[in-house]
Amino acid sequence: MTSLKTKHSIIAGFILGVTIFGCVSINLYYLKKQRDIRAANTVLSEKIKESELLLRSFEEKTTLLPSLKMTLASTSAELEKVRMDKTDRKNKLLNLQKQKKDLEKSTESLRSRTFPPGAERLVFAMTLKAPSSASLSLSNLGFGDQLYDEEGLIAGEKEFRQTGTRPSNIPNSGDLETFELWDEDGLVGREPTLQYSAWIGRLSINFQKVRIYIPAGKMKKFYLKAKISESAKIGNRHGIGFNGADFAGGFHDQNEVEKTVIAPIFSIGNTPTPSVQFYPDFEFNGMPWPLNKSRTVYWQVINPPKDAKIAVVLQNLLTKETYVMKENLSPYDRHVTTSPSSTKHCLSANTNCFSLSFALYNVKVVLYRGEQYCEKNCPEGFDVVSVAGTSKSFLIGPQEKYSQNADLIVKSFELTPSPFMWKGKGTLTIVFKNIGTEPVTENNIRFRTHNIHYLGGIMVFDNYIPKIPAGGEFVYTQTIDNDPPKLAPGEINTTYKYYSLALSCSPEGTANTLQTIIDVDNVVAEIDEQNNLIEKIIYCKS
Amino acid sequence: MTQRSILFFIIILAGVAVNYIFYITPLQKEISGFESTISSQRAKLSIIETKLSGPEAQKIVSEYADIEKTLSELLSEKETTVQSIGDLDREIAATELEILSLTSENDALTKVTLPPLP
Repeated sequence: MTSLKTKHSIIAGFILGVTIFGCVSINLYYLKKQRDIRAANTVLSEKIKESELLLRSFEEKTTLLPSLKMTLASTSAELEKVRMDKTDRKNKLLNLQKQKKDLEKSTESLRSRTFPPGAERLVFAMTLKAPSSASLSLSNLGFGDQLYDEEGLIAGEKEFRQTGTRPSNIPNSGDLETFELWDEDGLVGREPTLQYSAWIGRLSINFQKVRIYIPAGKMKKFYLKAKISESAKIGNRHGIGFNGADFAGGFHDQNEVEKTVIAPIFSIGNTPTPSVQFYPDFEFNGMPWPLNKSRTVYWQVINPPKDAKIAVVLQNLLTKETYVMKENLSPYDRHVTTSPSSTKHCLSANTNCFSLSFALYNVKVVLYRGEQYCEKNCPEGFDVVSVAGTSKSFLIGPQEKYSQNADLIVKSFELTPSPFMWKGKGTLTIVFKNIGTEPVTENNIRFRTHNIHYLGGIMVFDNYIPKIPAGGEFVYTQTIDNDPPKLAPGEINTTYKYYSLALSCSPEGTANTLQTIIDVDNVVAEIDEQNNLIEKIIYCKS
Repeated sequence: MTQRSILFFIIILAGVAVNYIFYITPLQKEISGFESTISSQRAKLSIIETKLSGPEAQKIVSEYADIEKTLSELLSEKETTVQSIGDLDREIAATELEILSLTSENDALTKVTLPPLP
C-alpha cells in the first residue's frame, strides 16, 4: 500500500515538473518573440524617420529648383557685368600707364641732362619731316640758345622781378662755343654765324649755305654739337630751339614741315646727373609678357655714378614683392634676359626663374653701392643711388599653353566707309579663322588693333574672341569713331561706346596703316605663330 | 484513479489554463499588433524609397547638385573678380596720382622752354 502511494507521488511530481517546464518554455519563447519584434519595429521606425527626412529634403529641392535656376541666371549676369567692369578697369589702367610712360619720358628729357664745363656734347636734337607731297631742300638752318638762371628764369627776369626794370644789356654767358651741325650721315655744317641779343640773353646760331635734301614724306634727324666752355657758369640752364630754315625749290611754308624737338633743356653742372634710359626695344605698349617666354630688358645708364653697381629687379605692384633678376652688374652692362615662369615650370628650372602671377610688375634698374644688392636691414656701406627714370611697368600674363594644332589667323579686316572721314563714324568688321586641325580651347584669346601710322603705334582697341573650332570663323563688328580731339587714342568714349581710330588726316588723303593681331598674349600654341597679323591701309578724308 | 489524483490533474490543468489565458494570450496579441505595424511601415518605406530612387527624382537631385556647385563657383569667381577690381581701382588711383605729380613737374619744366620763334 505504502509503495503504491510512493509510486503515485513520484508520477504526480514528474507530471507537475513537466507541466511547469513546458509552461516556462512557452512563456520564454513568446517573451523573446515580443522583444525581437519590438526591436525590429524600432529599427524600422528609425529608418522611416530618415527616409521621411530625405523625402522632405527632396521635396524642398524640388520646390527650390526654379528659384535656384533664377539665382544662377542672375548671378551669371552679375558675373558677366563684373567681368566687363574688370576689363574696363584694365583698359583704363593700360591707358593711364601709357600716359604715365609718355610723361616720364618727356619729364626725364627735360630734367636730367647736365653737361660739365670743358665737355663736348650733343646739346640739341630734332627731326624734320618733309610733307608727303613735296621734298625739301634746306639751306641756312638757324637755332637759338636761350639762357636761363639756375632757378629756370630767363636771363634778366630775376632783376626785372626785383627792381621792376629789365636790364638792357645782359652779358653773353659764353657757356657754349665751337658749334657743329650733324645729321644722321655726318657733319653738315660748322662755324656758324653767331648773333647775340643782349635784351633777352639769346644767342642765334645760323649755319649758312648748308645743302640738305629731305625726300617727300621722309624724316631727317639733326644734332647740334657744342663745346661747353671751361669757364661756363655752374647752374646756368640753356634752352635750345629751332629758329627755322630757308627752303629752296619754291616751297616756303614752314608750317607744313613737321618738327619734333628732343631734349631742349640742359644745365651746366660739375656732377653730371645720372639717369636710366630704357631702350625702345623694351616698349611693351601694354602688351602682356606671357609666362614662360623669355624677354630681354635693355637699358643704358647715362652719367653713371662712381663705384655704383646695378641690380635689375621685378616688383609686383600690388603685393610689393620683389625678385632680383640680376645683381652686381657694372654701369656699362645694358641688358638682362629672363623668363618669368609659373610655379610648375620653376620646379625644373635652373636660374632666373620666378614664380610669378598675373599682375602688373615694375622692372627696376637699381644703382647701388655695397658688396651685394640688399632690400631690407641692409649692412653698413650699402646705399641705393637716387637716379631718375629707373622703372618701367608691364603686365605679366597668366597664360599656359594647351592647344598644339590650332592656328588662328585674321582672315579679313574691313573698315567702312572708305576713305574714312575726319571726325567720322563707321564700322569695322574683322573675321578671325582657325585654320588648324584642332579647336582652340583657351578662353582668354585677345586681339588688338593698332594704328601704326605713329611711331611705336597707337592702340585703337582690344577685345577677346570666343573659342573657335577647327575650320571655324568668328566675325567681330565694332562701331568706330575718329574724333581725336575728344578722345585720347585708344580711349573708349563712355558716352557713345565708340573707339577712336586716331587716324592722321593731315594732309588730306594720308595713308594710315591699321594692324590687327590675333592672340597678342600668345595664349594659344599654334602650328604657325607667324601668321597672326593683318594690315590695312586706310585713307582719311577731311 | 483516486479522488486525490483527479484533483491533482484538475489543479495542473487549471494552472496551465491560467498561464495561457492571462499571460500568453496578451503576449500573442501584442506580437500580432507589432507585426501589423511593421507590415504597414514596410509598405510606407517602400513607397518613399520608390519615390526617392526614381529616374525623375535622381535627375532633380543631380540637377540641383550641379546648379549648387556652379552657383558656388560663380559666386567664388565673382568675389575674386570684385577683389581684383578693387586692386585695379587702387592701382588706377595710384597711377592717376603719379600722373598728376608728373604732369605738374612736366608743366613746371616746360615753362622754361624757349619762347615762340620770332
